[in-house]
Amino acid sequence: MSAPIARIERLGCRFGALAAVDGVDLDIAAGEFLALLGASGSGKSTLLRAIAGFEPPAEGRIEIDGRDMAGVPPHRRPVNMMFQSYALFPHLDVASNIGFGLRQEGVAAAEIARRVDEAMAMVAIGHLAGRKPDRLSGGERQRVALMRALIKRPMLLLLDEPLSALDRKLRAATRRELAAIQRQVGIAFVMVTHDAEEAIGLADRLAVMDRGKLLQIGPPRQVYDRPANRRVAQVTGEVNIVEGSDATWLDLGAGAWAIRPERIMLGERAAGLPRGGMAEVVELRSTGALWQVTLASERGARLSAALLSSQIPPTPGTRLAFGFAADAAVPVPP
Amino acid sequence: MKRGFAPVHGVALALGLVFLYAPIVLLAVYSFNESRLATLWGGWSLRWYRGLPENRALIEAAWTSLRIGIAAATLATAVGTLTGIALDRLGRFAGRWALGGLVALPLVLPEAILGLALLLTFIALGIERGQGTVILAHAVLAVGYVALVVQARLALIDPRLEEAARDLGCPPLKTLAVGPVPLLWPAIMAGWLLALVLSLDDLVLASFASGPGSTTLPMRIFSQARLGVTPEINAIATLLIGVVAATVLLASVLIKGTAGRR
Repeated sequence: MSAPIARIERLGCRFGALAAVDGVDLDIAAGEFLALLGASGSGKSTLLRAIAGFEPPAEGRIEIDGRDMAGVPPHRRPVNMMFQSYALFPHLDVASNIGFGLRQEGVAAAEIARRVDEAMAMVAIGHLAGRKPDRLSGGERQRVALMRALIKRPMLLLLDEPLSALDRKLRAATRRELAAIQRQVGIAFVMVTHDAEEAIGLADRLAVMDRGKLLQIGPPRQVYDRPANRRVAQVTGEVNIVEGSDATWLDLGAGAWAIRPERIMLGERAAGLPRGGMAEVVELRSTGALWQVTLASERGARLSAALLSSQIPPTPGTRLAFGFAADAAVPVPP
Repeated sequence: MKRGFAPVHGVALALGLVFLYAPIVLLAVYSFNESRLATLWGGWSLRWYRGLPENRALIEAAWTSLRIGIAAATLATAVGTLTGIALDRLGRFAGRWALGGLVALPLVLPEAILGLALLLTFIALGIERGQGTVILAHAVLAVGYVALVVQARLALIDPRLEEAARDLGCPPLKTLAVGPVPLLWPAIMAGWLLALVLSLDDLVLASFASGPGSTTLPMRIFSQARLGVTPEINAIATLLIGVVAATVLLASVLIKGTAGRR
């Protein structure tokens, strides 16, 4: 990791007695794509708003580009934010919305026009320049909001659930576009999301938050495969948490273990794997791309397994062998 | 659920409309009365309207009313808009609750009491009564209306817009001008029109606060009516009703038109 362009130290934000952000330490590297993942109320949005300057921290400090941000109001911070609802100015057309930030800086009109054209070309919305936001589709609005926040070339771009207002199909395409734009502009992105798939698919680094605390941070796959605790395992995706007598059934030691459903192999594929046993198939469901299989031990312990739709699914009611690699089970303290 | 229009509804509606508007219609009809006697029908005529321009006192009073109305409405709109913004956007500041109540108080306070209080204040401060004091009195009455209209509209405007403006480098005070104010214009205009109407048809406050040279139209009508109702008064009153109705209509179109749009 290169030298951080933003440092957050022991940051705390309070709403009355509630600690919305609690002792968060975080370094943000130049040019990286960082995702803040957490359920609603985990403090991820508050942390983002604190960086933007909208929530005064109760304790700790935020440093951007070597400058302490304490007491620096939002309009003087070298960061820009893309809001969840986009917050486009309804009385301004697309070009004026995108150029808004440059006008505040007093940039010359010709220069503003040039840079707005450039920004619109980047996301192919040049033909919409004269439209008002209420005559744009969701995807178009999202692009306007992104370009409006990017045009001032901030040190840091903050994105609050940038894809949540889009429908599913559009989201996948927009996700690719967002990643491409981030690489192209080379600005550090900090994205807040509650969607694990989105966070893992987009980010260079993934930070998981819960109840105001930063639980784990690292490369997405590392966080996904080796969650530091039970909450991280649950927030980052589907997971079996096995503990107590169920753990003994699976030949695991004391404590709680996390096993991802897709790491559990069934039937012939289970042969030769160090952990596993026999179980009954009690339920089979399809999500389209995957089969979701629910297994039950004789004593009633449940495990869910996932396999690709291209594989032949087991028949409910039958008993079969299952197994998983030793490193598929990760110890997770509560 | 089906909503029929039963005869009983029609009767209730007719009775209600008659109760509300029969006196006004009567007044308007009699303003076209040929006869000099206000209560005796003598055929249709425009003679009282034609005669109006010659009634110097009445015309004078109408202009005074208009001048006072415009000044009072402008003053009330300036103060009321800022108050509405403060009530909706400044968060929980000390005295917010009290401010909200105090602004609304003139709306419910009996006008005679408000008028008396203003009169006492003007005397205590040694302010000479005239058009200026009537303007102040009407502004006091109208500030609450403007603040309420602006506040209601502002509550529908996403506060994230101001945050977005600030995030993009707009300093706090300017944020109001570029963020909500362009969206608030219809509400501000509606507030101004309501304030104008309040001032145009006020008699009580004007009577308390007026001095030499500040006889408003309602005051003139009232004093003439005490000497006997002439068709001329019917005519000027009909015109006043027309102006007020048109203004209120415009104001409600402004309020509705913006509330419907997101």
